Amino acid sequence: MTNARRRYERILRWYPRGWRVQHEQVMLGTLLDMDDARGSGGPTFGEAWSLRLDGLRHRLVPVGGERVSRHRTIISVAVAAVIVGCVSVGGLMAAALPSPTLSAEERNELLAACLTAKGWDARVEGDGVISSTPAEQNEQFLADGQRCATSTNPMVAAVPTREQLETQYASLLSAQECIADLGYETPMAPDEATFVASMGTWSPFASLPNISAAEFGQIEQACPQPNLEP
Amino acid sequence: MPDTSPELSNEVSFWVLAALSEAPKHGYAILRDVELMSASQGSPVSLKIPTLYGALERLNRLELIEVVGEEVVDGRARRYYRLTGQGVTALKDETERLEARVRVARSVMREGSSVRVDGGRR
Repeated sequence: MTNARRRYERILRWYPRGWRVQHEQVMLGTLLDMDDARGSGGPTFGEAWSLRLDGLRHRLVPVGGERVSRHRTIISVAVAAVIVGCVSVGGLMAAALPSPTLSAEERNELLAACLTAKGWDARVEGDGVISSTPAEQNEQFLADGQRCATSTNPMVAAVPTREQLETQYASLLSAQECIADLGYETPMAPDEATFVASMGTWSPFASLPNISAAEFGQIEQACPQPNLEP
Repeated sequence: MPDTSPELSNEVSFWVLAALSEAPKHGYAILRDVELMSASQGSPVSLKIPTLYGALERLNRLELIEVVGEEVVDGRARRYYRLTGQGVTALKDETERLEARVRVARSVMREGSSVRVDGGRR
């Protein structure tokens, strides 16, 4: 199996299982065709994030959607939760935070637990979290869901260990040097203690000047980012 | 039958249908042809894969396109889509609508101030 195929397969795990059964192989084939046409470099950073976000979007409604009735609201790990950890770089999404390491199922469990703590009758069902909620409370439920999704978002819920953060910090520093060698100035890195205390909210990739996607791709090719995949 | 015109006014959907009007195609062929066709008219549409598949899912749901088959080539799955009869009609209607829009815009530009801003010609 090629390296590119493996990397795309890992990213496609962000889609819910029901979707994957139907579409994963076909989308993977198209991604690999496109990758070949580009010169087989594997997923670009922007492409990887657009796929992850699309995968999460597909989780917002369970497959088929028939289970959503008037009195039941389904939410899942909100797209907003991921965006919280991302900053926009010249139109691309760049994660400033370390790798989400929880599976989607684990994230849903956390989300359900958080909603239960807020007094909702919430449980995991299928690819989402479901609650028997009177229709007039839907808005409140969704608002709480958003808050829970943010607090159970991969970056926060999958609290990285100090060791992981230190490794991440070292990798980001090397990446920053590599980026500087290409002639791009990025703001000075925080010290390691600050980086760890902030759960890794710094990345040289997040503070690149406003550049084109192609240029961003070139930088990424020359200076690989620390692994952000689950 | 649901109203498909909002979907057709989506540029990506329009180009996907146009690409499929030639022949049944698989995902990457559609993507490449959309880029080529849109580039030839001056504003290339560069499609991300999720955008392409989002459009294919919607067009399929609206029964404007359908899956004609799948095959595995060199270990890669390929799903072929083609236009349905409804898809052909919808593409034709949308093309006529765009042409009509261009005609009106041209005549407005020629006539200038004789046309009121609210679109009513008195």
